[in-house]
Amino acid sequence: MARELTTPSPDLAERLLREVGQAERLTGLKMSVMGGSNPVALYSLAQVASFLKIGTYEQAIRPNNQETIGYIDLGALEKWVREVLDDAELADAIAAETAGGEPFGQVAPRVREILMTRSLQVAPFRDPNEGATEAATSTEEAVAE
Amino acid sequence: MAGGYTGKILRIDLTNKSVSTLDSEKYQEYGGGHGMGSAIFWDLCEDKTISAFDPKNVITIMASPFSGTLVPAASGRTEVQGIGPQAWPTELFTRSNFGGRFCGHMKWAGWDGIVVEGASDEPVWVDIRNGEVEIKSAEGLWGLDAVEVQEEIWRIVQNGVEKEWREVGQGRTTQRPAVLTIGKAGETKSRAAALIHDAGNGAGQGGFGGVFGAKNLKAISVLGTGAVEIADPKALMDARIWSMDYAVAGHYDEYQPLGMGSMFGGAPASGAAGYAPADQPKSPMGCLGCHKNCRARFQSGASNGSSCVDYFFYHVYDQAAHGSYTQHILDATEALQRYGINSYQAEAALIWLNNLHKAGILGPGLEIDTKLDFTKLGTADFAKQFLDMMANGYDVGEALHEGVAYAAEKWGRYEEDTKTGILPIQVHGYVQHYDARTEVEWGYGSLVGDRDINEHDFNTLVFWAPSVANLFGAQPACSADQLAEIMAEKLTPYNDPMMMDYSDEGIYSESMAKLVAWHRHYTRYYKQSLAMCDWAWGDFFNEYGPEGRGMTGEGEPRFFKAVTGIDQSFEEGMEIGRKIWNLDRAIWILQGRHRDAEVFTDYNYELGAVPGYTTYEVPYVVPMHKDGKWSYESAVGRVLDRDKVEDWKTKFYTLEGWDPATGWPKRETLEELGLGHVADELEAAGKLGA
Repeated sequence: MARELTTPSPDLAERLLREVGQAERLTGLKMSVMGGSNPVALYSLAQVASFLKIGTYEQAIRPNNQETIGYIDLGALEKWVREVLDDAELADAIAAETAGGEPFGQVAPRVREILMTRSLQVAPFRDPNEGATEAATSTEEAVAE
Repeated sequence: MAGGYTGKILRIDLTNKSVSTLDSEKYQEYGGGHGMGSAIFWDLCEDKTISAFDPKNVITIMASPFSGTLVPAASGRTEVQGIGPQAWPTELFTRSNFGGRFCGHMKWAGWDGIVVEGASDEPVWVDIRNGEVEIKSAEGLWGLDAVEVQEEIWRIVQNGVEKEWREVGQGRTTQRPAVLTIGKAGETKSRAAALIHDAGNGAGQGGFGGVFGAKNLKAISVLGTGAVEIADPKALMDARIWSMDYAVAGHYDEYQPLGMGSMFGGAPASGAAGYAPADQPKSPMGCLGCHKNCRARFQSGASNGSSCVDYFFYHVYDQAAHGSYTQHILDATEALQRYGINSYQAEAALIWLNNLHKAGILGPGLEIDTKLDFTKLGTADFAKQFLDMMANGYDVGEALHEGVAYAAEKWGRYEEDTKTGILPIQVHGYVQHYDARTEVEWGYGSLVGDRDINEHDFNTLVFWAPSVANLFGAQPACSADQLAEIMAEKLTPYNDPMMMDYSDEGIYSESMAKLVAWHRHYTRYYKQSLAMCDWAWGDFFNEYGPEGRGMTGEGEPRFFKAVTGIDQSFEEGMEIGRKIWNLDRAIWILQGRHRDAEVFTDYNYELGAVPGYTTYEVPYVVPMHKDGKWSYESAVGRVLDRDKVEDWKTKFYTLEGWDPATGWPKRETLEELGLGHVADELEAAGKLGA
């Protein structure tokens, strides 16, 4: 069950829907055995929410497993949400999940769910001409999983 | 000749449109594949300093004694060599490798390899049916994409008959011919052009697709109806059955996951498992004779046979645009294959372009003008437009057609963008694959060689298993103690456990020089000359093996003896690998290589691995030896020390018997390896190590 978040104001939604500039980007690490381990620049909440991804340990350690792990330093993520997106409630929710010091593989799915919840909340504020319908539908499916 | 060899190599002269043969026996001491290719290149390419696009460039396409046999994960890899146009700032003699069934058909047609010389004055393709070879006009094929041209050649060779017995000379077959071809990128002589075979098999690195284009060679088709003579068929069958215990340990009915690091096993279709819409059914497919079948076919048919690397150029953008993987990534990857573009180059180009776009440098009307609409990034249409630019050389593709390193030079951005790392070139114009700052054996191997090594022998054990375990608070199946113990046993002749020490001190040590040297020698022989697949061999740690030991050291010579009848020890094979490595080194020296050229790009020395992100546990965990104990520890944030890397190079050159001042091999080193004639040529060029 995703942590509940209050409905964002139009101003906050606008901030969360924008793409930040290069200097404000968040860097993730895409990890795949054959392809390597390389940085990926992330520019929006939606990109971060869809990128942060890790399966179970059993899936991850299969020989020749090729599914990408989308790694984001969770401390850096909280800081980016708080300082760049200026969403204190979301940052606090992430901080609450990571405070217990659980390993990334256990915390990241819950953090992703929170990010998806926020993405879903702001989706109605998107300009439909920018493909909001497709993104929102995908987000709903991801949360439903 | 020994078993496994056909005894002859096809020599194609495109300038004179003639064919002849070379005796394989002359080159048998090199094993096959890469070793034979290097020796043939040395003999036939008189001026090794020519451009890759010069008609005198010699391209070798080699099988191994294992090709077309039942040796597991070794039957379907074909080795390609010659001067490649991709390396920057100097084009280099280099290699690539592709899977599928091409090398099997070469062998069944009676050829241990194909040598391509000269250049045709008109587009041609080569039609090989057993011993019959014809150089034919490619009118009607030139301009087709890499899928269309194969379908057309199948139609021609099969005379329209599918899945029925057909007569081929004295033989019969139901098989389609195996075709190696180029798409539009190759036709336009792009440095980023790949060779494509069947669905999803490609030799991308090196830019050999562009070399085919320069030779006006659209495709080589080969259809064989013969067989490979095996010295001891029962021993080969016994060895294959024995090896399956290391892959599945009797679990034939249900897949049983092995812990990470046991490379010989693996789930079917794992190579493409994660890159399709979740609801799209797929089935596994694999290369000739392989037990793993790591690639996949999808219900939509798009991108069939591709591996993860092929999806990597675009999958994060599809995900960012659509929230998950969609049909867009499959369609984008299909386009990559049809244009015949090196996926690593396309991936680096998009990372770089996106960064430049976000920085306000690249976009409509900006400093680097482009019609690309980045609001569409993530769609298949954007990918197709971008790939069309790369393949045809217009818009941003005018520069990127030459590959990212040459494009950066053209735009005056090489120094700045490799310093900040937004253009992730690691060394010699090749983009980062694994991080030289943390997994140093990968970076060092690329540094002292010709290209991104793309050899995963140690990668899963020293980086992946401990790093992923750390992300879950778990312990890897192979402890750091056990890893050091196993490697000390298997990495002969050095047998030094400290080779596994990736600590801040260990990465500059003589032991690390030994690890890199062992890796260079092992891969040159066993993986590139005997063509044992990187995705299964070497097998060091294996949970199904006795006390966690994999087959490496025992498996390679066992299969070699069964196929060839030659009783060659593992150590003798390693020594052949050292010989091939030194021969390659000599070619690079003639092309201008000097120790001064073996320097990483600036970000490796100045930016920490994932800089600034050290608040949580991090996925850069490697084995270290500290205070007399082995453990897995984080290496995050590490930068390489320039002076210490230089010291390491001196240790490595000394270990290899090369002159530390220049990195050039010494005469005594080459003569000890039976390469006195190579020493003579280096001396004549004033490039013999002192």
